[in-house]
Amino acid sequence: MTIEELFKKANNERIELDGHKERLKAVLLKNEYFDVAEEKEYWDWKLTVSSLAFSALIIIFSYSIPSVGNNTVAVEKTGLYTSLEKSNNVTSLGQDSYNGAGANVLKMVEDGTETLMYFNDRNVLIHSEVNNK
Amino acid sequence: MDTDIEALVQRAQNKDREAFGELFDLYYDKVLKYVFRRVLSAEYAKDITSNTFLKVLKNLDQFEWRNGPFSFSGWIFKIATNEVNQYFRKQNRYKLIIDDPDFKELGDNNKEAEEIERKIDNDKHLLILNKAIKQLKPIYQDILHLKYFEEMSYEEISQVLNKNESTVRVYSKRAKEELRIILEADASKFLENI
Repeated sequence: MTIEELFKKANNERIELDGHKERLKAVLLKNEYFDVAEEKEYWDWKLTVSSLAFSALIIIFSYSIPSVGNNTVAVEKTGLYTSLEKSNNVTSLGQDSYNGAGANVLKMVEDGTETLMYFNDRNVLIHSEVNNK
Repeated sequence: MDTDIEALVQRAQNKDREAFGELFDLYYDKVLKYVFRRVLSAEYAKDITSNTFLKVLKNLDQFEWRNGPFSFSGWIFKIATNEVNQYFRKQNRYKLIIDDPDFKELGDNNKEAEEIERKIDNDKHLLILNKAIKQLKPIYQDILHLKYFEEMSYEEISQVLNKNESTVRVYSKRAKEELRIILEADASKFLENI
């Protein structure tokens, strides 16, 4: 008999030890190794939600603030054009051009000084000239 | 199959209980049998197997799949072999490291373990082999068990023992020669009667 044959003859039975496998598996699966994952998952979830909420706030803020500012400016500028147009010392010179673009021109005469103001199609002041008489 | 195991390992490393459970089911019987054949004690086989799997779990994050198809089984058997060698060094001072009262209590009531050990007492082939192998150097013992009981290739054994494959081949040849000499000297009468 060779050594290889002797090894083959020696105990090849299946070994089962009174539910040791199941108990060991249960103990291993409740090991803290896996709790880290749950904790991590929990934090990941929390971080994701909070970062999404924060991002949303930033987006809303960045859109709302400049738009409010623009509106304010627009209102101011529109208000400027309207209020100037209604003034007694201001006359509309109608459409002209400034830098190749169409512009509404208002002329204001005050204390011997003539000021020409150019507004774009949204009534935003884009240029002004002062001429002393 | 290897891809499946690699995928299971990756999932287990991502703390997936189910994946680790599947890996445990795949390797438990192999490890228990390997350990039992080496120590021939049901009680210690249980403790060593338990410690092996606990260490597998604790070190799973450090495991890297890099040695091909036998990568993971080689790694588990490396841990099991280290535990077995620790048992041989410490003998009855070897302790279960799982600190779970329920697990320990249930483990004490063990009629089946006694029955298995009784069966082993009747397995003369195993007893003769074991007695002879224990007279060899520890590295030769590891190689003979892995080569002839676990039927591992030299490549796998080299991974388990962290040795060069050609070194394992040389050691295996020497181990077999020394084992034959011991068997012929101590158990010639037994072998003649088989």
